[in-house]
Amino acid sequence: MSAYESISSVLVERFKVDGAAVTPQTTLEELEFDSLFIVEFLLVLEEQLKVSIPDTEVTPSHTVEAVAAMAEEQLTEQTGAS
Amino acid sequence: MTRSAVSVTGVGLVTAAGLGTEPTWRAVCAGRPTAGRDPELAGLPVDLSCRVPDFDADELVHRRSSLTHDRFVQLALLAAREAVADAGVDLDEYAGARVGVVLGSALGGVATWETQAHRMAEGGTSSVSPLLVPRMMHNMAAAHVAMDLGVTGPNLATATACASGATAVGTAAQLIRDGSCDVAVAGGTDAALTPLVAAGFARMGALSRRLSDPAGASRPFDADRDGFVMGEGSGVLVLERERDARARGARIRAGAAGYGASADAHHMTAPDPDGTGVLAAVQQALAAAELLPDDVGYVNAHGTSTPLNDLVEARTAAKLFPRATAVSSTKGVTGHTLGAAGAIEAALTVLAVERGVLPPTANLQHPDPEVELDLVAGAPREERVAAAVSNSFGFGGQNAVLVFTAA
Repeated sequence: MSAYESISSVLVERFKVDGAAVTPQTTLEELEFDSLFIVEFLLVLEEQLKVSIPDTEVTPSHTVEAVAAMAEEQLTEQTGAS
Repeated sequence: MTRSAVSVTGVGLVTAAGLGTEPTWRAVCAGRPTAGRDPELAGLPVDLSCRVPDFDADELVHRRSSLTHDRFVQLALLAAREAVADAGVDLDEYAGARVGVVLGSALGGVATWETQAHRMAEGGTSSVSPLLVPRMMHNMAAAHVAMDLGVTGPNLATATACASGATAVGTAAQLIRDGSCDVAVAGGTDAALTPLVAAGFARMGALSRRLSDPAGASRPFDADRDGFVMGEGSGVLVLERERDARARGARIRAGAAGYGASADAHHMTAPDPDGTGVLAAVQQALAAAELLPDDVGYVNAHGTSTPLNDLVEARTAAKLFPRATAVSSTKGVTGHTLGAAGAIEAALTVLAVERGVLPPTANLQHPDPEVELDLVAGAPREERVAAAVSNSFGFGGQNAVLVFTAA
């Protein structure tokens, strides 16, 4: 599963977002995420995808695709390092 | 200045007997206990509880409820919505600032606190949820009810331990009388059936250890009582000025006629054996209602089923009320719902007054010989009463007494 697919399923299952409303270009703001939700979201990604994205790097205007790219980058680094 | 009469026009209940006022009223009248062995408390010295039946919070409360609300908030939202619907009041007809919310809780979001403490112990600070604080704060039940209903009047939480719900109802009636708001949504909520809380109450020796007979564990005023059973739930009332309620053609369930509050100033957890503080609160509530003890036909006792509470409460009630006053405790059915208890029992007292049915005390098979009261046991008693009292006492020696009158 790609990082984007994993993140989409977190959004649907944990954050009760309508799956049909999630596209790569959807912003977190459009999903009604405030700063608290962003921190919680990154915490869940850390648990489920084993990626650690600092909460200072994500704002409500980030798209799902942009967050997925950050996650993908870390996952690639992890694979490369091992 | 004339004291304006305040009425109860709406009732909402969530208890282990079910989601809603009617399932709770039916179980209470049937004397059908809700206590059982609780799998979530398995392995503890006491694993009894009265747990609200499972429900899908994301479906029933809010899309993101399981993420953003502690359970004590979820229960309060369900009870508040029922109470407002029951009152038939269109809150949009009021300026939002004229509608207040007062909700008490004894332990607030302790379940969230406990979960996150485990996370921190296991995974360090970075594993702690940013939603910890907003989920667990005591005031969040009142805050979320205001957000849910879109009302911006006075909004506060009361904390008088197991009297919190009664303190909230009394305080809300005062807010209406002093003109701070026109309508108040008031009650109590608690959902603290966690291993840590159960261990704490068990270590105090407060809980019944009748593990072989869960249904018989909560038995207020019975000679064989040995402690309370932890419960969870929420009770919410809608209060408004009687003249406003009549003007809009509302069904008046009962009058919220009096409120009395006091402190024992005696001990952290033990009641004052002389009952001085309790007597003062009852007398204050009756004076506010302009009633005499002889006018009271029914007392819904605090009656937790602990040896000490029930004895001291019974002795105190016997000093004040005539022998003919009917007394019962509904905790035999609901368990002790802590900060919700005062509001759940206020609601049940309102229904008793409205319907002319006095609920029995479940499991009262051999009344404590030291209790000299007319205890309702077995079946509900059909009796119209002009006025009824609901007692609530909290650890810390905080007492809150409400008087309700027939409409």
